[in-house]
Amino acid sequence: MSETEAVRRLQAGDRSALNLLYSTYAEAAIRTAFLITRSKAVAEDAVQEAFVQVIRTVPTLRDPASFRPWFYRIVVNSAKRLSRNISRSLPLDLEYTKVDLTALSPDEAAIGIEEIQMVRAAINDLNQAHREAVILRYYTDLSEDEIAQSLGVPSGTVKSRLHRAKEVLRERLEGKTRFSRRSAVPLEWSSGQKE
Amino acid sequence: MTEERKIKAALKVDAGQIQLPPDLLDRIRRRADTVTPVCPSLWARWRLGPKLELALACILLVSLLGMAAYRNLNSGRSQQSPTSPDSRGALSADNADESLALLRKEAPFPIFVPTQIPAGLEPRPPITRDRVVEIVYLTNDLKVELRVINGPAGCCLDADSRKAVGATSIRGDITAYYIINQPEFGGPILWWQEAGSYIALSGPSFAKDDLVKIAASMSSTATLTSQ
Repeated sequence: MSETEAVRRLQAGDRSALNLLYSTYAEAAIRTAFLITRSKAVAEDAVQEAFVQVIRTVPTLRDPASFRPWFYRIVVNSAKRLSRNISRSLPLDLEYTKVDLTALSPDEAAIGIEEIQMVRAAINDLNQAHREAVILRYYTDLSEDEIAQSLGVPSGTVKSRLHRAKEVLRERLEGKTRFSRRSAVPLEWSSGQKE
Repeated sequence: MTEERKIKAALKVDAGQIQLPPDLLDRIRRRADTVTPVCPSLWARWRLGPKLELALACILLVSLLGMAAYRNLNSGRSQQSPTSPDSRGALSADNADESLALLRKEAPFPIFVPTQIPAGLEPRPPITRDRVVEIVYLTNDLKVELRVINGPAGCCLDADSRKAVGATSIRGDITAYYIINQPEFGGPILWWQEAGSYIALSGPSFAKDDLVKIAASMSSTATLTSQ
């Protein structure tokens, strides 16, 4: 059964079709939600909410082929909404010291732990709009048009956010590189806290 | 490209911190059991396309704003004009006297009206508001020039001699009180109590002496057109 077929079946009320959509999207969705919210608990709740929302509103999706951006829009909105509701005192899951390189391709692994850590921190320092665009483009692998649909903004806005985000990352990473020359492991990486 | 590779690698490493909980699908299914999907046929019938829906939403918004503005305009008129539908006795300027006569029969207090007013002012039929009867006199360009309020003695906030900046006698032994009030809020007020009624005169362009003259001409039996 293809994804489009699964969406059609779900629209017709066949809830067993959810299994395919879940197995296709759940893992990427929870990780996307985690990258946005920086909280594992909130990410879990967001994905749960998103799938329930899918079941409720999938009949309103006119083009089953556009399920992907539509679904990520729900995920992003759920994550943001839940994130706003959590207590500010809830600790965020910022475990900079843990690095698992097994998920990376050999090319990516060759970048090196220290540089990957710098980029991670720099991405987390981006403002919310830029970070969301970067996450959806480079982690979730959505096209610019799909990101536009997911975020409910024009494609031009997505383009400019991505462009600006990369500029900011570049500036910060250049600064970090200069900083790291004086100290091999800057304080913020080892303490697990953002600067 | 290298830059994008670094971003991807960083996000992958970051995202690797969270794993899918094994019971999440069950939790979703349990929640889903309580959910009713939106009716597809109904939704499809109503969906018109984003641009058309946006256009319709704009039209609806403009219509609502227009209706709100129209209502505000009408409510503004109803406060100033005695011809508003919720104004008792406000039928038309022609039957002002008839309306006044009816109100005098019903009201538990005498209703005083001036018998001498400056030239060029036209009375409008009286209207009732809360417990008071209000009669306004308009200029040719329909500005409210004089306002006459009648109500039961002690009815109104202004009926407090401590607020007055001066007292004066009208028609012998009646003490009237003068309150300074800015023209934009209706102008100075001269009020007194007589025969169980509270009576107040005000007008944006009247001085105290003008109001005292009008007060001296007040009668509880005169008609509005008997000047």
